[in-house]
Amino acid sequence: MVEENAIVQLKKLSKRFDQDQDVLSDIDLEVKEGEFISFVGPSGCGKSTLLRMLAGLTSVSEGALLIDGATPTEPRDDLYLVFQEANLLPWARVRENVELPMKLQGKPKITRQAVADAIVELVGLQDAADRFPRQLSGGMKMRVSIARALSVSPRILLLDEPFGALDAITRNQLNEDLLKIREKDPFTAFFVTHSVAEAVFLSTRIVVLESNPGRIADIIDVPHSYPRTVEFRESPEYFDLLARTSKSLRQQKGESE
Amino acid sequence: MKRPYFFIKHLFWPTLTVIGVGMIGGCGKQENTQGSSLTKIVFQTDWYPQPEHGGFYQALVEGYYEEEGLEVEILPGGPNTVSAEKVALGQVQFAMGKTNDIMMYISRGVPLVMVGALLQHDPQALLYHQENPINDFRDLDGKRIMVGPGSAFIDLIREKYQIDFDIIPLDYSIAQYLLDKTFIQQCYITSEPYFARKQGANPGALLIKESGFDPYHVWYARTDYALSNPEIMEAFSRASIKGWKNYLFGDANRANQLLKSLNPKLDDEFIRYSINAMIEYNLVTGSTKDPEMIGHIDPARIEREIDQLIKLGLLSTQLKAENIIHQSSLNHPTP
Amino acid sequence: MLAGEIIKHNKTGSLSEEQADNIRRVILPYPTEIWQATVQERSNLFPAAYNTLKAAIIGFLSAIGIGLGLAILLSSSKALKRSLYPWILVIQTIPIIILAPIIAIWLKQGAHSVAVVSFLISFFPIVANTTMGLTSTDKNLLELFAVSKASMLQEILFLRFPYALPHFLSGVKIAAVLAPIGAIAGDIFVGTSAGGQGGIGFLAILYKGDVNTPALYACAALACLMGFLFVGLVNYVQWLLLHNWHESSLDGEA
Repeated sequence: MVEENAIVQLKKLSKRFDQDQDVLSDIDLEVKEGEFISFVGPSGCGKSTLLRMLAGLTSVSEGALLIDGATPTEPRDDLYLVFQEANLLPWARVRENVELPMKLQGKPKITRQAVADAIVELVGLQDAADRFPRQLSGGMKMRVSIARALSVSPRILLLDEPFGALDAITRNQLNEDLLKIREKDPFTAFFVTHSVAEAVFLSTRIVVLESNPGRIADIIDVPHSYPRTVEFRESPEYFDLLARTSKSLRQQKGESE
Repeated sequence: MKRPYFFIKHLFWPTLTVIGVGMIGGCGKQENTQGSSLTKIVFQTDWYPQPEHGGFYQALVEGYYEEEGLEVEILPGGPNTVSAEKVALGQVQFAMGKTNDIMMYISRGVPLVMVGALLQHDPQALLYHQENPINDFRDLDGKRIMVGPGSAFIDLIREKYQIDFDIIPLDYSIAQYLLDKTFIQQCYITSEPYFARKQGANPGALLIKESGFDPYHVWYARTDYALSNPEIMEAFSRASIKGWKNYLFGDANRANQLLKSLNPKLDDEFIRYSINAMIEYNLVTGSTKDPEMIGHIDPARIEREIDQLIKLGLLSTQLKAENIIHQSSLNHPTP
Repeated sequence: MLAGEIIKHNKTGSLSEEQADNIRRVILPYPTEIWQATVQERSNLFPAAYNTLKAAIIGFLSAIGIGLGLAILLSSSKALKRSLYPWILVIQTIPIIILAPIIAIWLKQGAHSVAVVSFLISFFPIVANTTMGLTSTDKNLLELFAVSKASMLQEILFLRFPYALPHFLSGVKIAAVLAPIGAIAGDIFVGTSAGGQGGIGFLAILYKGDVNTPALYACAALACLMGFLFVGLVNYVQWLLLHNWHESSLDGEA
């Protein structure tokens, strides 16, 4: 699954808004196809901004952002973003929400329905397919949001703290499910989170950012192979990585305070 | 269980609100006229202050009312004045109106009585362009005219001349008339022709009274009030009639100054026109041109008007002139 | 309060009970008297109500159509909004009593002008509310559409319109109240009796002249009924469109 050539390259990437200080500064990162990159860091380190730049929602101030070796000039079809909030259309049923990106891409209804059925089942929402968002729990809403992103089979999936508002049990469940989905439908992931545990469990690499300005402070490899199960979460390796990442993160916070 | 809940949810608060507002309204006003030896009188007119009300303003500024022991407040009207209702409720003591309108109220059982006439003849007319003259009411056949809907003369003219015409509601303006040479509308002979000419039109007017429908314009009061206060009726009439005599034939300067200050649309030239029209058409004095006839109401003419209205179906009750004209007016000399 | 005042005067003055009751009927008729008048005058009332209803429906539908169109126009560009909105506001702020003669001069009096007054009185809330709805689309959802590479048209059709729908409908509901009022006001100011085109407003003037107060109240009742009918219809449509998802229509449900 891992290929040699990088799918995403960030070269001396900087971002500033107006004349203010840099939000992000000199970010250098090469990501290979199939990787799962997590960004952790104190508030204001620019991790969400980084994700938005990858999504094309905000421009690059300095440096280069390359996807498949080229600067993207227009929005890409093979990239999708999962937002912090579930961000569902309140007037549309679960199935219609999942179909939305395909609908916007102009795919025929039959294709849309077939894909949506499969994905709704993949995220375990087959019984809720005809419900409206207001009838769903927070965790279910987030599943819909992920299903929606997966409906276009993206090569790159950006996830901006998708599970931040969920309780710990739901969050663990969704972490495991996300990896299972990824086994069936592989994508390269960029994942922003506040949870070190989540980052360790999911990622191939954890990028620790410092703030003011946002820079890469540390990169921690998680060599454990996929599929990862609950046993990984209970292994000494997991706790060791957890400790290392937490320490690195604590140092960043200490320096910035 | 559903039903009482429905009541509480949907009807309880509206009901309570209605009761509440009613109570607040009920605690409203209290009048206090103590501290003056003059009797307080409120007189409701039918329009903005204008020369057609000149006699009353003359009596007011020249102190004729005070001489009679009355403290009179003149309440100007407008397009939506409700006069008879105010008289009926005792909110005003006198109001002015056309006899046919007042008789309509009386026929509905509202106890009103006519006290004196300010206009012996109806100044209402149809305003047309000389380019499209209306020489006779028959010329109205098939036309469209702007009048106050429900005006008694509409039915009378249709009936009498066996014609039909469409009506559009009066908007109290001559704007449409000025733009359309074929436009016909209701007017006061004392007013609109002047403004039409000023605006460059070549107006003509056909007096409604030529059709045989010619109500008085009178001041009236509530019957029980008039009967129990004959001296107030007499006093108000004496002062008002004196006001009219002097307004038309004496020095009306101060009254006109007052009118102008109350109604900015008035100027000296228009007031002169209006007064001349009232004199020329014998509106206040009647056809005898005798100033002594000012204020007089002729019972025989009222009887004729009653018959006329009944024949047209505009009046359902056979009224008696002597019951609806106050004694103080009948005391005047008959011609 | 009115009835109380009559009784008060009855005490101090010398009105007979019958006279007081007659005055009461002219000022404030009993519901039974209004009902009797409605039955008595039905051959006048119902054709007039039909004329008013027709004008109100035309005015209301034009208000929806033109109001929606204007809202789309206004929300599409800030410059357009800045240059157009004041004029719409001007039309709305001129009292109909002043606007009516102007309409009569331009369009001549008649049933069509009555519909125009109904339209003029009712279109503004639709413009204001819908513009508000179209320009207050959730920023996150707009980003979702941006990430999804939606076209401008898709964004309007699948996001901005549905998002503005509750706003639009609340504007429509206000218009539903105003349209019959406009039709009746229009009737009074720019109506005509030609070809039996007179409506409730026209009739009300006639009843006022006839001192037929119970029938006048019947006119008022018919006007109310019409307003309720319009609002009821809009409420139903609103429920159909929103009950699945919008807070405003989630009635008593957990």
